[in-house]
Amino acid sequence: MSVSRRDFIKRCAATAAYASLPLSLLNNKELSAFPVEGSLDPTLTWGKAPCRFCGTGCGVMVGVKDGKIVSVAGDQLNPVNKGLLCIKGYSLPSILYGEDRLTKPLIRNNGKLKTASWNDALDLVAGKFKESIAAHGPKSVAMYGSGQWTITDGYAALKWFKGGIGSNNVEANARLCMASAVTGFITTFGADEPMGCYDDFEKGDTFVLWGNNMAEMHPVLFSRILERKRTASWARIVDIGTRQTPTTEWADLHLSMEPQSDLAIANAIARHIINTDSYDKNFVNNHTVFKRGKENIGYGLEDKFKFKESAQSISFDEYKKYVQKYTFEYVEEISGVPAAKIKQLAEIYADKFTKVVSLWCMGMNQHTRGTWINNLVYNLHLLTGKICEPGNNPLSLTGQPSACGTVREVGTLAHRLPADMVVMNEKHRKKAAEIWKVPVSNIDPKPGLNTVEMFRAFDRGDVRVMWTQTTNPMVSMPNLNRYTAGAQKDGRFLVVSEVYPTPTTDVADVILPAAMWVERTGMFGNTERRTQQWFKLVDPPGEAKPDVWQTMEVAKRMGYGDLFPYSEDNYEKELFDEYRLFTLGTGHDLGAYEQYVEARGLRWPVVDGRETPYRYTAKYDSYVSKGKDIEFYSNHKTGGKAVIWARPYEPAAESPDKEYPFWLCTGRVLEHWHTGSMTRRVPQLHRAVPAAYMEMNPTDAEKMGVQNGETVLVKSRRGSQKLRVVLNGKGKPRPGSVFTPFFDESKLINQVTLDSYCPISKQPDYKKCAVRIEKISV
Amino acid sequence: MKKINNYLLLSLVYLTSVCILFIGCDKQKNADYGKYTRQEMRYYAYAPPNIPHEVINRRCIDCHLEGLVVQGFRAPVTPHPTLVNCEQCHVRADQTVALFKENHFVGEHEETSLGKPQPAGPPLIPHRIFMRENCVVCHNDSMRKNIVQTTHPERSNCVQCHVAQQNVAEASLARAE
Repeated sequence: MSVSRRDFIKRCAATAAYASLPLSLLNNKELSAFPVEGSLDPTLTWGKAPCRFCGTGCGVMVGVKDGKIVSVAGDQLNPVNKGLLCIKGYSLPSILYGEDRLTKPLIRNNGKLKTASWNDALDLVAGKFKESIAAHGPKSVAMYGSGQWTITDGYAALKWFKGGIGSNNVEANARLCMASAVTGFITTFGADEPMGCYDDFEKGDTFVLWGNNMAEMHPVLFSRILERKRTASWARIVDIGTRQTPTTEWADLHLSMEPQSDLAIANAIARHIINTDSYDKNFVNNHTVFKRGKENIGYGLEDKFKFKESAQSISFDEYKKYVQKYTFEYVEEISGVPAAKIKQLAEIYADKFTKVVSLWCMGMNQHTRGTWINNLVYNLHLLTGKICEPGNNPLSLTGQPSACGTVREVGTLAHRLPADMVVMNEKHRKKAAEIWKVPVSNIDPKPGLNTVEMFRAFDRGDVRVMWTQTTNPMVSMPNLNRYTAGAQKDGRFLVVSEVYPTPTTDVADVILPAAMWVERTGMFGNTERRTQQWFKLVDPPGEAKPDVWQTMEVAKRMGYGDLFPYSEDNYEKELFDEYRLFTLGTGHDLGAYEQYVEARGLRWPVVDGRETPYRYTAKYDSYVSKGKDIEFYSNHKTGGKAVIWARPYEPAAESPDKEYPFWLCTGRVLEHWHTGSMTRRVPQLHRAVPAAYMEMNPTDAEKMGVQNGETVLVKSRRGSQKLRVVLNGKGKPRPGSVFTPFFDESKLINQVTLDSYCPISKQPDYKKCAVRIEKISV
Repeated sequence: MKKINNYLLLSLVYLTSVCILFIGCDKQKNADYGKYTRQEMRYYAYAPPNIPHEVINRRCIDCHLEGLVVQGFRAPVTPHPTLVNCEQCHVRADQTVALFKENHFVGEHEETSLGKPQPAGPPLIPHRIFMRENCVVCHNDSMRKNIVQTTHPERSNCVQCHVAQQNVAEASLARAE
């Protein structure tokens, strides 16, 4: 096939025209130096979108032909990934096209699912909500959403529940993922979300990874670190973990630690910083205060577990005394890491001239002392003043694509309102009531149930009607057997909005087919505060509808139409415009909708149309008071100072013992997303990792006479699973530890895990419980 | 003398088998080398190729940096050697594994040839160049049977004559409403 001469010349001209495109399309000055080479197939229609998967928030260009997605390319104009993706990103075109996509509403009657019209299904759902509220009050209903919800999905649910019904039982699966990061931010800085951004990857000297497998879980960001290593010969990677992973292979220093001992290691480093006089005296004096909170705070194992912090201010000298017990030798005993290695890591933090970026995700957050360990890593950056400047920051990595943008910023949590506001604060309730045009008495000042307590309440019957959207709790809840059984008891009504059949739809009373990703217009917010927008590019299959539409329809049928006076074809923008009002003037400012349409995302606060790469520093953040260089301006209680918390090491909720001698850790693999409902239906991802397995340490296996590939029984006090053993695979656990990924709905490892949680954040600990391994007799 | 001979023989046998095992053996198992066209190695044009052989030794660079020839096949040289976390994009998709659920996705592939605008001039590049800037790894390798080979490998600045045929001006923010 040849191209006519005219076509050829036309295309050359167009290429030249591209070279003079206005710079407004490139929202990052650095990009104009980047060799953008066009070459996207012009026979397709292309649109930008953030990736559907992890919290990195890579930009993709989606190629559409004849109403179907036929291609995806990494978006070279997006500063997050600059055209690179990972295999899940490259698999995006297929995730919409699994054969068993849900296309019609389904109602379960006498155990059998029957298709229904939207009218009937929505009327039924609205009816059940009304009934339960009338008979048992607003606390008897609950909404369980997701960090994969778009911003408007979350905002509509929040407004309906908190402004309309008057129930604070709105939660999201981000409670299982980022809650400890949130409470870490709030207790240390007075406001949520990182002060730094991804620009740190090109500026940092040493990257310290605290229990996160970046090579598999944030691969594109890890590629930026590797590129930094390649171009800056002094750059180093430190990998701290309870197992060796693909990330470990790239590390210059690996600390193999006993689970939970990160608390001790962080304290040992703080002690070294102080004892060697390596702390930044000016920074500590001007920008920090010291506090000590409650200790021995429990594990959230009892129903209705309550915790209330009581903190006292302490002096620098008291803090110094507090950390003295964490000598390198003492911490070696707890952690198994040689004292010399801990000292090596401490010296990296202490060295004035080494820019350090600390990175973490589930290892630190899914932790019964998750808030504490977040505080402790912040301490290291606050003591040394290595914070709020490019290349020198703690960077809490987010797991889901919009845990930040939706759950944390919109506030879809039991105690929250948008822009870091809380229901307990009268001023905050007043502001919300004003924007929502509802009486302030509608908003309940008492926080609702956090996720684990919500499912416990569903089991007990205190919650009777629950609606889940874009999440799969019947695979992801810890101590799963209790919650699966609970959901099926009499008098419980479960509504599930989903795209594919899952173990959660298996126990649902009503299943509502949902539109997925670019089948609707939407917005996500990623780890680095970058809010990104996309337009609908293809139609959803059958009668599937966006979550936000479903929520509004049910709300209207319950009489809350006044809350949702938006137009049928532009509600996405109208909802966002309204939500944006919460953020203006708060330091969480979002830009105008039109800006997000044009840009490859913008990092908030967006002030005078410009994004803020680094917060709390006068150089970049216009919210810092005049005359100050650094100010944590949201921390009103401390006068704009960050808090250095004295936090101890405390053991895990359930440690190995004689009867259950192994640690069980759970997590993910690169190829699969969470519970696998999307990725297992992509042939290349499924074939790459078809089934769950259990990683074991070869020495342990040899002692037990277990061979590579053998099926064994892993058992805890709560449940068991038969799993195939993998020795020397991609991940290698320490002796005394095993690891299983949770993507496989036919191997529900969460039947084995424990529903302990951090008393402050209420986030469960999926990384630690005690199990035994049994050989299965042939 | 005899003892040394035996020793030498034993070592030779050991080394040879290690070499075969190390380099050749795992790559023979379930290898789909026959399906070597671009279209069959990836799900759509801009996807990275899947790994057509079993992965036991995970040091990809050993073969794919310089194109080691194994059993008559050359390991394709990576056009992006600075991207070193290979596994983040390239996965082993063993075609013999049964699917969990069927998938109806059909990927769009690129034209394999766009011809020449003038008979005496250079042929157009029918594919995207991003991450494939090193032309000679495919176009100057006689072992790559399905790929057109350059008649003038001595000229190293390929893009001064050969241009890619798509541009992003047309492919800007689309809005399918």
